[in-house]
Amino acid sequence: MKFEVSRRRVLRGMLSGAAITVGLPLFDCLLNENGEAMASGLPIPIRFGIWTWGLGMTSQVYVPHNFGANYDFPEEIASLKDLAPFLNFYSNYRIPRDDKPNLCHFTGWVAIRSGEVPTAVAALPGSSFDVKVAAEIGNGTRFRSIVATATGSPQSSQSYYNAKAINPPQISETEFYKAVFGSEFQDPNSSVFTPDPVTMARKSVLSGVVEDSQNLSKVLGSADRARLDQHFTAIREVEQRLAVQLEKPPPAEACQKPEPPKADEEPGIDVEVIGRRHKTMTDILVLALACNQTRVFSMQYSDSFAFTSRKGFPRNHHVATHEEGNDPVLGYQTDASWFIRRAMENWAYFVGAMANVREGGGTLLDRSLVFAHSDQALARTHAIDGIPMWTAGRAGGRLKTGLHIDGKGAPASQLPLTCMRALGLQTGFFGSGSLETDKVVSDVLV
Amino acid sequence: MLLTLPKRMSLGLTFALIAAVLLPLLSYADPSKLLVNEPSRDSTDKFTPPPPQSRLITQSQYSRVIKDVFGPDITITVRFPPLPREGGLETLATTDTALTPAGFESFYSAASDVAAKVVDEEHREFLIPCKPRSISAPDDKCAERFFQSVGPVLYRRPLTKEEAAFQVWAAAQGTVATKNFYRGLALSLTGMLVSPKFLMISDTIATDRQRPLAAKLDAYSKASRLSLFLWNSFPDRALLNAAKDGKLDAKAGIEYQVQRMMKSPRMEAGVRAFFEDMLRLDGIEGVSKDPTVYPMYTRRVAAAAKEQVLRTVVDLVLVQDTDYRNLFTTKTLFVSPVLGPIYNIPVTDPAEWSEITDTSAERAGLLTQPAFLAEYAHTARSSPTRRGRAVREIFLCQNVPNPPSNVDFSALNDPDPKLKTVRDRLSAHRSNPVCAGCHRITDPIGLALENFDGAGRYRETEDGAAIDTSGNLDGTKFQNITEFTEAVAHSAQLPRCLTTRLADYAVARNLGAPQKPWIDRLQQDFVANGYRVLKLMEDIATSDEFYSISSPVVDQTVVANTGVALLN
Repeated sequence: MKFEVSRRRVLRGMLSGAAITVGLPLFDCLLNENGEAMASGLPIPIRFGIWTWGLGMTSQVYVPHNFGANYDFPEEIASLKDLAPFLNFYSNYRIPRDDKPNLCHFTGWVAIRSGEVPTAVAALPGSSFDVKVAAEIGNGTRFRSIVATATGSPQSSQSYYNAKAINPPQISETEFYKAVFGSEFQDPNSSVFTPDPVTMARKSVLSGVVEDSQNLSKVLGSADRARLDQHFTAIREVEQRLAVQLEKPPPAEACQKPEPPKADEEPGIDVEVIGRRHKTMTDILVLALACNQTRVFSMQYSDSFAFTSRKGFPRNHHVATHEEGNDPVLGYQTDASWFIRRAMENWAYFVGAMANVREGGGTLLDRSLVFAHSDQALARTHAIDGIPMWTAGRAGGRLKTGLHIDGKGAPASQLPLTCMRALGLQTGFFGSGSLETDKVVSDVLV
Repeated sequence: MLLTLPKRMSLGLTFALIAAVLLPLLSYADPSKLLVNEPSRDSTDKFTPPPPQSRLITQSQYSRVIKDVFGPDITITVRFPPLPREGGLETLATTDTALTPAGFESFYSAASDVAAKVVDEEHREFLIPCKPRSISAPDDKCAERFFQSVGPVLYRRPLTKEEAAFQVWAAAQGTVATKNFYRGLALSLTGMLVSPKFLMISDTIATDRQRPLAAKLDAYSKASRLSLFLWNSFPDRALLNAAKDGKLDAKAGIEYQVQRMMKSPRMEAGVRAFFEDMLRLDGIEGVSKDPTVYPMYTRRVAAAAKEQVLRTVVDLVLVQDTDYRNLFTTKTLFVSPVLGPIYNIPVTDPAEWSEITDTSAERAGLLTQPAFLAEYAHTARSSPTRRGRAVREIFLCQNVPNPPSNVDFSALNDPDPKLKTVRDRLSAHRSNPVCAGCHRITDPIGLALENFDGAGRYRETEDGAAIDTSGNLDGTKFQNITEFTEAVAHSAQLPRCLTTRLADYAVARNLGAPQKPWIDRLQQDFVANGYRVLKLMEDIATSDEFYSISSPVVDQTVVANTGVALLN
């Protein structure tokens, strides 16, 4: 309490006299010298996100036949063809398990996200790499990262600090809008900025809560002390968000506050409902990026075990992958493929939405890197070698696009490492066991 | 096939994994070997108490505490971070879950909403025990009276001087910033509601300088443990006073409080909370159906189906204090107009809920209610496999292994379209040796419920063919739903499962072999006392074992210098 006595007096004096300094937040991740700037002259930050869908692909109608530039778009990914200049597709990457089991709909996404193969369901190893990225480039914005899902399920999150600290997703369109563009949103392009003394008071109260609770650590066991520390870290994140709100935000020429959604979609995982929910959430998320509310996100279109349903069809997506026979002429499961095509249409919508936002002489997508992956290759057999992966965007000029990359059996962990390097992180290696790698996909890095 | 694979499974993880990979191949001849009765609590003669722990408040407890402290009209709508279910219970996950920043935002948002309502013009008159001298200036005395009033109930013990001073200071900060005493008070209260002292419920050890290694819960921790178990809420003032006066140090004092609490109206919240957790009712409101197949199944139906289960539980367990097994055989039915289309009965009583006696032979007990039937089904059809698995896992505490990942599903191509019923189609699955093991332990149970479609409506035919619901449950044969529900009610695993779940829930931990003697005794008494859940709750709450903790590793230097036990 000794520290706070003097500090509180200072704060009380500041509030009473409104002696508040207005400054501009510093970006931790700036464009390199080749990057473009906004009209204001300020550099544009790079954004990073992950987009996921469940149950993989039908390889014979999904994987392009040609490698390199000008690759083809078979029918399951035909909806992405017009976006080819913004995309890279990565095939033939493996997930070596080192004698660990292949846990259905779990091992694949966990290995890609964390670089580690889990030993049991629910035993999430390490942390997902988007959390590492957020720690590096997520500072100075209101939200260090945003996690959202179109499934409507609070369990749909592949973003985690550790097995017991999973980032809860935004599952409601209206609540998502309120969190980002509600009463606390400050228009970065507004000519008027008045620091809110209430925000400062809230911040100092939270700071006091941390200090007031420090004694708790003396009477807790080591595991509980670690949880307490995470609690304090979480409070400080909110303090940071409030601190950002006390400073005049830098202008963001592409920022436009969207109209609020009228209502949430009915709950459920019908493919049309998920599609509409995904569209609304994408529109909010894209403008949250454009308005510098966050720089890191994780968007989940469907769960890894996707029970996505289709009106009038007795089998949902998951059930179809296991129960549907191959079409005798086409040689694959047509119902399962139908669901994958819808997923790819939504991926196309997401990429297109980012490409449609103009900023600094380019687009939001140009200044972003979006990594997309599934949990399986062929879901019918729970195959995890060859899981389809994409990147979209150029990361401010650090990534080439328009390529189909042949992984030739390399570990899939090369993709997260490549992403982190493209974002400027000084990450030497990623993953463990046979997934450990210090190699990046050099063909795509500038 | 067994296709329902929740993302974060929680039951017997390692064991289930081994079982999933190996046992199906080895146990085809005897599928019962696939079942894993969890948890494995092998014999030990002496009860060994578990170490102290901290737990995170659940959304359900948070809502309840706010209602109990500030009144029933102070409600919150914010969702808390989901907790992955462990040992069959969400409550068990509270002991090792940590808050992420995004998760904390949910608590912060809820706290801000609650605090704003507490001080609004509608509530301040009766929730704030004084009026400030000026509405636009700090009033430390009035703020202190408020926090000395609510603080002990929120922190579950008296506030220290420093804590009270901090809240008063924070209220003054807020008042200066907002130029409004009540908004300042709200800012300070928000801080209290996101403090780890409120959100983390920690076992506190009663320190004894003479015997620092003798671990014992302090009286306030006993009070918290008791009220969270019986009321799903924090201690009331009477319980806190009993703790303060040392009455919880004596068995008679605890028994008196348990009797008092079990007669309280708050007991209903406690009973509801346990069964909502054990029956996994948190998932039902997210269940959706294909509207082209089940147009009558709406969001309102799902919510009503959940409430129907809880009304049935409260009636049998709390009001009638009857045999637990009656939950599976009862003919008493609580219906609302919303549920009418599912039951195909006109519900004309203008009251929202009616209690009726179902004289038909179609339904009996919880397993034939739409909450269970619809949750464990597909969006457009029933699922004997999901239903069978749910019965085994929820009511019998048996783990059904997941299918191995390398199953060759090409053997399961579309079955013959001439097969009309799901029983026929599943028999095709059971012809596959790899699938047969698990399906033989789930499907007979689920097929007994095939008289109910994916929304829980009764039917006698499927695609024009008569439905056969006969089968056997671990050796007990049945022909129809009445015999099936009787078989479940008299399953040897049923009392053990309920006892284990309730004891685990009470202490918020997956009790293991060292605590087996306590579980054994509780189960024995539960059966001897006529399977009465209330009596079992009383037995748990008055057991010495309920309050026992083992000695943590203590840093003796810290104890010597401060009298405080620093745990490692």
